[in-house]
Amino acid sequence: MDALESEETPVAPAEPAEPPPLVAAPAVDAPESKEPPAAPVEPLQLLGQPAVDALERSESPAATVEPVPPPVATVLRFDLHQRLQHGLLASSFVLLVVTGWPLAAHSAKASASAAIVALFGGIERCSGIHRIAAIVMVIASLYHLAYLAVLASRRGLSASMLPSPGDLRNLGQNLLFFVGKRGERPKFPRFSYFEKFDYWAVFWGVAIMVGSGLVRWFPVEATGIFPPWVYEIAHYAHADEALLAALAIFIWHFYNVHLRPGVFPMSRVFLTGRLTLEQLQEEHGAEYEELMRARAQAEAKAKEGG
Amino acid sequence: MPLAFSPRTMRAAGAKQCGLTLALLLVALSPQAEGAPSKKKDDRKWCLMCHREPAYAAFKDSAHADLLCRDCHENNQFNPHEPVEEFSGDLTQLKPFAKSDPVALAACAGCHEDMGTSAELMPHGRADGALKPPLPYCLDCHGEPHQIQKVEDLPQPQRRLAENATCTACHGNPERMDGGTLAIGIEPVETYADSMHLRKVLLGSANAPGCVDCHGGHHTADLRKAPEQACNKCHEGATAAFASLVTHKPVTAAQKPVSFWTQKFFAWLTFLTILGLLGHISLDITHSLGARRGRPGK
Repeated sequence: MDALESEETPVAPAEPAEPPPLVAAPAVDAPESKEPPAAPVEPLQLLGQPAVDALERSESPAATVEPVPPPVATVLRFDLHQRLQHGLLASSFVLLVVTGWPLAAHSAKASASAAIVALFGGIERCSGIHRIAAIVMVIASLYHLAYLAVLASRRGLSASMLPSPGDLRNLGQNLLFFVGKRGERPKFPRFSYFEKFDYWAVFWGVAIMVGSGLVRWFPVEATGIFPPWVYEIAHYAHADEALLAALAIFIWHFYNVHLRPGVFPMSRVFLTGRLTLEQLQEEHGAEYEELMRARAQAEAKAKEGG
Repeated sequence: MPLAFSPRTMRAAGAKQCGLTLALLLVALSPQAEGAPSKKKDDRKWCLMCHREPAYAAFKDSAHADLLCRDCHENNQFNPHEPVEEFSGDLTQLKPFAKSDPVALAACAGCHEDMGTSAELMPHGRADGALKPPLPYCLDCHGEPHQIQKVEDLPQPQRRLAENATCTACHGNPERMDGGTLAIGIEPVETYADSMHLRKVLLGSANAPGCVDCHGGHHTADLRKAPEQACNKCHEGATAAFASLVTHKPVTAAQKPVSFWTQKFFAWLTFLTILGLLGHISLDITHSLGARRGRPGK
């Protein structure tokens, strides 16, 4: 991760004592701050006032004492690990929905089910692919949990993904904004309430689907360990939660991320992992302001040090 | 049809053939036919003079195509045969195979003698008069004997679907299943129709079971006693707890409360969640379009 990001100039770190505002905060990785002269050398890619700041700072001897990497036109939102996790999850999800559909549909005679089964070369192979995709999803989930554990052990996990009262406030503000009772969009933190909803919906969904899927995959073993009603729940929960998840992803998630006006037809953030500062200000106003404040503080500190 | 046991298929075949079949019962009861039988090879030539239609074309392609007429219609040894009369005796007095199927005594059992005693043919073999409506005989399940096909010749899943259709002809008919001594209802058929087993059969699985795979054909196991034996044919190691999941009971609050409330929970969860999300999206879109119209320059 460090190697990958080293050629890109990260956003200025906040006070080292202050927890980073990210669940994963590659943008504030330590190694970059060890090479302060390198960062300001390429100010030409910068635009506007921040670029001027950076130029000024590069002439300041204080920069070598208190390294302050300059702000850049883009900020890293999702690092390579997160993008890989998302890619594994998304591809396995689509495959699972498609291969699971024929057996979840209540009318197996329906032509769509038969067509899907034919596409995958028969119901037995369709089921086999479903199980392989399930294993991929489990790997993606374990990858994510291990990733969180490593982050937690290195520098502490921030609470930015946890639900908070501010989310409810933002929801109210956003609805008022939608109906025209409020002039501007609320300033969202790093993760807006609808992004937190997506994350925790997937968290709950994967737990339910993997659990119920394993019970259905190994019914003899499951009924040997658990009472039979556990299988009953798993049987219905698997198909019903799958429908909920598919609707939520293909309608809600796709709309908010890709299809909404201004982004349509597709956002590339899940591929590049980067937001422009303009996008950051627009979509995560609170995070943007925090970033600017932290930078100003660091600058002030740098000047004091000088 | 004057006789209660008469199979549907025979009804279709016409009264003439039916009478013919019944007549052979009379001979079966007094099998000392007079005189030597004429050459059986002459059967086709002579019998078909009158009995050409409706079944002969299909008969040539049936599993019985190699049989001669009088292999089954044993009583009609002379040509032309005596006028046939309907059998009016006590069917339950026929021995031994006739107890399960009077027709089979004379015709089917001549070749298919390994089908077991009526006690083994549970529960369909019981013709002791205790059960109403009447239980099925050979032809009720196996169909018109002149057109009969070997079920083994059918590929899966057509074979299972054919077997299922045989069972559901009676077990899916509320008129036959709701009344009578058994009163088992059509729930088994309805719940099977909504099961993973049938879905896989319909989608072409060669392994998913039909009715007969669990319940057996002629030698039906009593699945109320040790149902896991049937499960173990595919699910090795299945226990009674495992088998208790396939009850053929409908998902209702009273019959299957766990399944019922799980479905209810997810139905409401899904409905309310998606309703909320769609509402959010609608407001967002409405606002975006309105903003665009209000500020055409932007």
